[in-house]
Amino acid sequence: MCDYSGRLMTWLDREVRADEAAEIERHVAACAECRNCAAEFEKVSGAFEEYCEEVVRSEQGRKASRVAPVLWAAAAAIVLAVMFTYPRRHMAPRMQKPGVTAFARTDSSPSLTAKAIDNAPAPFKPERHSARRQAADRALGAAASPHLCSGQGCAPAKTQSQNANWAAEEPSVQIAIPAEAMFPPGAVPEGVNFVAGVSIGADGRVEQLRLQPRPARFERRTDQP
Amino acid sequence: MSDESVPLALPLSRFGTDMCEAANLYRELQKPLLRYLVCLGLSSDEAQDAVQDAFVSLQRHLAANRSKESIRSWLFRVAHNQARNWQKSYGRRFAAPLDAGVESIADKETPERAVLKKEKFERLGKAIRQLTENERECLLLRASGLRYREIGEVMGISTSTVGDMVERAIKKLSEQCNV
Repeated sequence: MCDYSGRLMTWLDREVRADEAAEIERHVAACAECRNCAAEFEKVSGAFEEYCEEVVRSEQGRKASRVAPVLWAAAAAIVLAVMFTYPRRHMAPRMQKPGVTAFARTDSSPSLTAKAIDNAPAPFKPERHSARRQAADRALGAAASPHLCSGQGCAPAKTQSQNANWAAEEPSVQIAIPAEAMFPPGAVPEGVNFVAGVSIGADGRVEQLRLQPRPARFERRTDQP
Repeated sequence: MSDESVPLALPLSRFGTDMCEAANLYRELQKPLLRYLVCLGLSSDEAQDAVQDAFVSLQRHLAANRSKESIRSWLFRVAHNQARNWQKSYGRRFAAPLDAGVESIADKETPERAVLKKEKFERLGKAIRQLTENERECLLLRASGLRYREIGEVMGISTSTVGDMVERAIKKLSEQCNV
């Protein structure tokens, strides 16, 4: 074992005095054993850094896999909500209340409400007049398409009263369900919203369910320097 | 008149340089700090929070006109103490297999290379788990770009001990896995 081998690591890390560094450098140029040793140290050190990067990447992957079950839970909750709401609309067609409340995201409203859950099972009055349906469609379009959103910055923007009534054959129903009703606390990262689109066929079955995470609204963190 | 403006101008100008310094440090150290904390076993969310907290403390530290020497090691020490507060998950990551990470390798590279890399990381991970906690932390701080003196300040040991520890740890890794 060479006398210099104990100082190779500090030399590689530029942690030795300048005169000592020059001496070690001269020695390493001449000594094959130390050259190999130094090369090995550099390789291991580089591999360690790669490993650290991998740990970080792995943690990010883990984070993504923590969110995925939440999406499935949300999908299941919506299917259940639709299944329980739909038959009741037919059983009590004469009630006056709107069946589905349209929710839109507004930046000014600070908090979430559970109103969608409360409103969703409310009876539904079929509205078959085509002119009114078109008016309802227009009104909904104007009020920003209703969607399910969870996370902050979501609140009922407007109850569309009569205009929000869908006719039974309307192909698409969108329901707002607050995050707290579906996810365990802390499961949804702050600022992440979901949009759920549910298509219901004429026979009342769910034909299609699409749940998409919405890009988080950009917010500057105030405690950041 | 000019005498009156001096006391006002001084703290203001100091405030400006402090902010500038904090912003520069944030740019330089945010990523290494995050990596360090995640490698110590924090989740990436916890690490984000801990880094934010550390920089909030830094501003307080600078505003109180405390010593600006060794500010880098100071930040790592504050962040490390945060990590200690999350004792539950502390040390978990280096003990856990890198399943998710290995998946991400497979995405980008040919299967043969991915397998080789996976094996390499498995060997390395096993060797890293056999290091002592201090040796591991020494290497982590070194990989974050800290000098031996700064590592010593974070860990409360002398600079020469840091040198010995780094060398011992690297030698152990080199013996245990032929990377």
